[in-house]
Amino acid sequence: MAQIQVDDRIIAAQSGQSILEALIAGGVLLRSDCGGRGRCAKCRVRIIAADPGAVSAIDEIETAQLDESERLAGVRLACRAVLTGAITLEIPGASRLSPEVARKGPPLLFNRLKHRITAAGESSQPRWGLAVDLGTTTIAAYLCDRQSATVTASMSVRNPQAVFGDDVMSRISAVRVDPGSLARMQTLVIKSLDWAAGHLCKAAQLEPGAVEKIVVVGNTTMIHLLHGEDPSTMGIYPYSPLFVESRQVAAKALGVQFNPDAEITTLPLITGFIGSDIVAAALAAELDTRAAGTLLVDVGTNGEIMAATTAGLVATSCATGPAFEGATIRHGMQALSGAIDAIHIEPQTGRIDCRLIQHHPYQPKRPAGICGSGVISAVAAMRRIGWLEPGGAFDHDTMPARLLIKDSGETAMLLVPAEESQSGRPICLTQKDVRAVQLAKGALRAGIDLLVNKMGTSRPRHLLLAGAFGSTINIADALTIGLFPPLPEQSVAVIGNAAGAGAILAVFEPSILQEARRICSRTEVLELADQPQFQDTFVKSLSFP
Amino acid sequence: MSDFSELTDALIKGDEARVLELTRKAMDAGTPAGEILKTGLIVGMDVVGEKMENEEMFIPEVLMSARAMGAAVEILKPHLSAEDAASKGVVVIGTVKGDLHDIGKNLVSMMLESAGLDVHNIGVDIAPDQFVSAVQEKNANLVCLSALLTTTMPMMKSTIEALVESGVRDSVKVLVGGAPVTQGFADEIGADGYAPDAGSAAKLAKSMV
Repeated sequence: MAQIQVDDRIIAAQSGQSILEALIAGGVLLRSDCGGRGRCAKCRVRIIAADPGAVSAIDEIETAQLDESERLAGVRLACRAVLTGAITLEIPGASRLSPEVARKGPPLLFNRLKHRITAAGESSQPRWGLAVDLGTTTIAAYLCDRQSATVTASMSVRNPQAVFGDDVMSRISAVRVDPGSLARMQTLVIKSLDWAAGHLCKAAQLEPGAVEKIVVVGNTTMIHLLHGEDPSTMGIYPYSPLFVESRQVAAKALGVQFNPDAEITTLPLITGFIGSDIVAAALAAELDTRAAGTLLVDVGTNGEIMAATTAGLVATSCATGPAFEGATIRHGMQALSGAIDAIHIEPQTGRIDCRLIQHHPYQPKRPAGICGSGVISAVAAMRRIGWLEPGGAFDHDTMPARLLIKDSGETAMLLVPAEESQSGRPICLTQKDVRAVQLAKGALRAGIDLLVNKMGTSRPRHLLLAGAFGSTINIADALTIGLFPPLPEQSVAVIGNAAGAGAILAVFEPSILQEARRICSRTEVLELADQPQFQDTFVKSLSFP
Repeated sequence: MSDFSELTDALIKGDEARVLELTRKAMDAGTPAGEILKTGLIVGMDVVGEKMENEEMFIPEVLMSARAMGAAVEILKPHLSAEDAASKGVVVIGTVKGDLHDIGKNLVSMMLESAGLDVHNIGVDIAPDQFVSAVQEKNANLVCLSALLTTTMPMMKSTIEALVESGVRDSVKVLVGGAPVTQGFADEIGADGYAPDAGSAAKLAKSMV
């Protein structure tokens, strides 16, 4: 019987699960910066005792990252070790997911939305609520106080479903291949909600039982997985979801434990790839009151866009992929401490300076990798200085020879030499990474261009950038690489986690649910694959301006 | 033997006007059409394929080169000897059921056509029995399956099974490709070949017919 004894309790596991998954399913959250792919080595655990054959043998990925003394002491990477029997383990402090690191502020738009909260202070409604933006990569949770119409505390947690795949297609594929994965993925997200809610309540010195209302928004696949509904049909054309209507269930029906009697509402969805996240963002941004030609863009893995047009709202999904969140990039990582989020190339000397994300002064000043914003910054800087051709190839004539290296056989540009990085290995941007960026930005740009074309105009009037990534992106860099059509910088506004703001609004204001339904029924969907000009538009968008 | 370096260069650069100009110039100078095709153009497309494999050239550029090649082949065709014009093999290519991605598949299709293969690009969202019908109707030597989603990859296995069930599996080679596809997966489903990109796919396909 697979099980883990840890922290004075016994967690039952399923044979074949990794230690990481079993721990999270048991409510013990570890750091997993790379999403369980064996790249960050943050999920170290120490096996103190194990039944014979209870855990898989250490593999090459672990041996490469754990030094000999660690291995002799029984240290393993939780994401790589697979359980088939009973083990006892110890979790080092550094491996635990710390609520301090996870803390964040309320969404940008929230301050502007207070005038829409008319039901504040009403005693008929529950006082405390939880708003959740269930992202493919990041889950953001906000503790809301209806009495004062404020966000008391907020937190973000990496979506642990990442062990089943970075993007929605991989997670859908996992269910198609093994239907048992559905329940496993549902458990992982429910446990993350329990963890986040527990810590938020602790920070607010609140009894978890006081949180009676929960609103969750997310893309269609995430909402299906939350409800334990099969997302399989969304994996193949025409990508039909099992349901699109809003749902209201008792928290215990989904296995939520921090308050089993709370009521969970998920807002309505539009299609298989246009979910309640963009609907919530549109509500928060008051898109239907904006001038025609305003595009709300969620620059995330799914690349959803909703436009205000003279004929109403039109939405599309661009299947951007996870390149903008650091995934599929050789040295890519989440926007956490140690991530390069911007680079500057000195024009005269060609010296590269990297700016690092560093949340706390005591955290290391050495880079560990590069996050989405950093990748865009690097590509933009290379274009400006002429080291990248418009087609995206490295210009071997202009790039300094000392920077042109081979990384595991691939052509790459050196960003950080070995002696300056956290791992002691050089950090670079490969030619293949640039191609991945081209594909991602090509998809989003093609979506924008086709939407604009449908509106009958030549360019958007105004762009609203939403999503966690949308908040940190440098607009000038985005324009340089052609992620957006040429626009004056002041026509592009960063609105932060608008989906989260919309979910918060729905917690405070019950009438928002009706408004969400109206948006869903009135929004016209633009299927990019059905557009005859799609291939030409996409191919054209792949190059840099 | 003529020096085709200028023609090859123009093809690699995707300069269609220059490719056509140099092709006509060579023909006017008496160079046999088959030699221009083989030593100038096909050699050039092989280089394009290699550059695509090592990421030096990307989709838009390869597409432009493939289009330039196609245009040049059109003017050479009427002048090719029976031997040169003879089909090097019959290929059926398509994207599997449930999947609409076609750019990569179209690139492979164009590159194989340029190499003298008889290519039938049957499109996207193609069911297993449609692949079987096409293979039977055209007497194909090679069938190329494309899938760009992890969720549609299993359709490749179903398609191969359909080929087996209808008794044509032994008369045709199967080549699979697409971003999420791997050599391991190709081996698992019993495909005869796998290529990670359009460039290597064209090269492998030519050796398989």
